[in-house]
Amino acid sequence: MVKEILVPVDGSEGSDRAVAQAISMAEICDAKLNFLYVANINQLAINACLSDAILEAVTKAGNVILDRAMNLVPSGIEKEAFSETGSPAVVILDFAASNDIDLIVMGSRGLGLVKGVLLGSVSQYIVEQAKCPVLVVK
Amino acid sequence: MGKFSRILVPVDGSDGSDAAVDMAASLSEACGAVLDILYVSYFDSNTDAAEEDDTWLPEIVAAPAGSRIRAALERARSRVPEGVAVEVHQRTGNPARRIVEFSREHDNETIVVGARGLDFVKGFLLGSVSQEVMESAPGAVIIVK
Repeated sequence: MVKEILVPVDGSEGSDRAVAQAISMAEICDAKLNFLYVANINQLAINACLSDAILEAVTKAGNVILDRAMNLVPSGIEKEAFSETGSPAVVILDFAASNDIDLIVMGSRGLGLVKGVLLGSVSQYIVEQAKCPVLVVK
Repeated sequence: MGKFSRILVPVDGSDGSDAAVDMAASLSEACGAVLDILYVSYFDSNTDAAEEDDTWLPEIVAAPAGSRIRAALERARSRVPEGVAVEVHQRTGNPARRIVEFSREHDNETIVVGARGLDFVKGFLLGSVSQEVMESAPGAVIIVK
């Protein structure tokens, strides 16, 4: 049964719905919620040499998103927030593998750059590559 | 969104669909939901040949569909623990379209599908039926590996 749930968050509407769905799953399965924010530093580095100011701003933005998700979780459900940097899809899969995640819950869109396609590029990659079940929320 | 009252698991008798049934069954058990098991095929017992003819057609096309459907549904049902309310269904037509249509009719909040195995094409990371269900389903979809 599902004991460790991973919810990648990015502050988008899709990720808000994923958080809500993940909370219900955690209640049903009595599982722990792991929220993960991935700052896409590689993408930022394309046209900017990273200054401390930029890094700090990115970290702050991530913390706001993680705090919002954490505050939605009712008491009695175990939860933890994580912040990482790198390419979102790769970092999410690494995290899932090294933390014995039983289920990844994510929005169908919103974690990538491309909007308007039926499934976001990050979600698509994770659905294809993940070793554990993936719950895709509309 | 939120709690589940009806969970749908489409099956085809493959290993991938066994994993999906196990996941769907334990979710149904945990939240007291009704579990709909659905088999969709292009053919059914009505299109089976009356007698066994020697045929050049491959087994997958020429074999009777009726017994294959019953076997897959029975296999799925036998994996569900006692105490879970199960309903078994069969539809004929395009699998992905029928699955999504079924989930709208029965208000399934969630569809649980195997990552592969619901059609002839193996070797892809995600089967074409699973992919289409994931894209066109109105609600949440769980893809089980």
